[in-house]
Amino acid sequence: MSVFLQFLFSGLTIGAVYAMVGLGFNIIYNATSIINLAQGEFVVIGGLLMWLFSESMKLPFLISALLAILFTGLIGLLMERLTIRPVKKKDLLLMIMITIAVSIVLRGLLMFKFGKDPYTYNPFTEGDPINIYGAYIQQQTLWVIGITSLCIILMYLFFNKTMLGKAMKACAVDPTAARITGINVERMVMISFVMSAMMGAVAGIAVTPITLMEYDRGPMLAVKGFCAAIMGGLGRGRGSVIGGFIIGILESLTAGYIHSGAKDAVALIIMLIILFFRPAGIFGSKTIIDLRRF
Amino acid sequence: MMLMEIKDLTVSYGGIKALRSLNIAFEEKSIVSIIGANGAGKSTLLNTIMNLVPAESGEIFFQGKRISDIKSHELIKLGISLVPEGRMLFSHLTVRDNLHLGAYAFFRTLGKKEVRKRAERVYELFPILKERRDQIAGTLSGGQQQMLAIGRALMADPRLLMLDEPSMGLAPMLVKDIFNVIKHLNSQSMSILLIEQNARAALKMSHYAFVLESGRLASQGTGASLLNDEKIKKAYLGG
Repeated sequence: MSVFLQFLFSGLTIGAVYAMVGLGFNIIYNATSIINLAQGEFVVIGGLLMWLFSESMKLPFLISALLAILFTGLIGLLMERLTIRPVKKKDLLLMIMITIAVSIVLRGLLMFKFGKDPYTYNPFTEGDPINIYGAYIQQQTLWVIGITSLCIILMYLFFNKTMLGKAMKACAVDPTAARITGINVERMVMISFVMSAMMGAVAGIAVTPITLMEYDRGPMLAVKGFCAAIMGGLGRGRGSVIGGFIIGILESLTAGYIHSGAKDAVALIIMLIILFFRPAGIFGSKTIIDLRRF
Repeated sequence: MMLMEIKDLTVSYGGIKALRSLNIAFEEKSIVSIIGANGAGKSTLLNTIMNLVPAESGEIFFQGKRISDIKSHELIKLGISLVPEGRMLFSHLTVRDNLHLGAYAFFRTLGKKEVRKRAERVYELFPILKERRDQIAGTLSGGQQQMLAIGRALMADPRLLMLDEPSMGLAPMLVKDIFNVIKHLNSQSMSILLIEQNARAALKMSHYAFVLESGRLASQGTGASLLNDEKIKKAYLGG
């Protein structure tokens, strides 16, 4: 029992990160219908910048976190300005390829600056792990889960209760219709990239003390987060969060009970099964998918 | 002063000229129709006014101001609203959200209260939308969707309301309702620019009309005069 619980807890931690990456996907997808495959790099940048500010430059914790989030947001902004906005013919496949290119460039820059070594810093709070029925849960894990929950709630409120959030959703459904109702579509796209980058940074900052962070962690995170988003039904925040946790837990159980080498296959197998049998995702509604233009 | 003046407007789609040196002008507070066969360039004209399609040459003036280079999302602030062909609703959002987004450009200046007031005015015009305000727009019937599309455009409280084929796909009874609403809006001094397949109905309620043929202005005149024009009768009114 305690072994199972231990696997469950570590699955929850990594699942929370996938959930956040999945949420990041959804923010951009909701505003643009683009799948941003550089989403994983935002997580890495968040973690590595946090190390840079808090460990290397010795800035206070909160300031470091704030700076790391803001800088990552700035990178999201630059990404949109330099690589997405200039594209004249907004072909969806082309845009997705561009995000892959950005991901490769960012990884190169990160290696240049940080090298290939993994980095970490102290957990947010000191203290012994908490013992639950013989399994141990680190305090940082609770932070990760707490922060994820907070982000989910904020995202939900943003997209469903604020005019800006609804306007962003409107842009994805029909950019032309959005324009004629007075929505500045270019600005919405920009905001979505900034928000999604900041969301990635928050995940990176929270998880680095547990999983460490190195320059090339991005693509795998992006793949898993994408699986989470697909599983939940693209565009659905709550769905991608549940998807993220399911993938995290299954991965951890696979690594524990079968073989650690098999864990990365879990997410991909789940994604294939879902794409074959329920392309709208487990929580996605088919009618809503049909109503979308893309 | 004319409300809108279009001078020498030429628009091309990949080498094919959709509008050729078009000159159109009309006065404020009138109902103006554009009639013509499919492919005559009617929708292109509205989309070019809205700057959704770039003009090759020519200029467009609204209340004396040159608007050719103003971005689509800013035109609504000048008082131009479009009810596009095919309605283009935000189909996965609720009726209420669709309406509120129609006033998106004014949210900051107006505040929530005024936006709600405007929505109430739309509900008075189309009571069925009030009943269905929490329903997802994509699940409404065709007629209700058209009402919502018009309602969304009215949320901007436009000086000029442009409608692209509002009667398309609707039952005759509903078409009558929609036309009555258009007349009512005009009686409250809103200018209307209407594209309509149903030329007879459009001309009947129009103060003025323009006839387009392959992107060129073929004829113009008051609604009544065009209704009695033999050539127009033959070509567009079924003899």
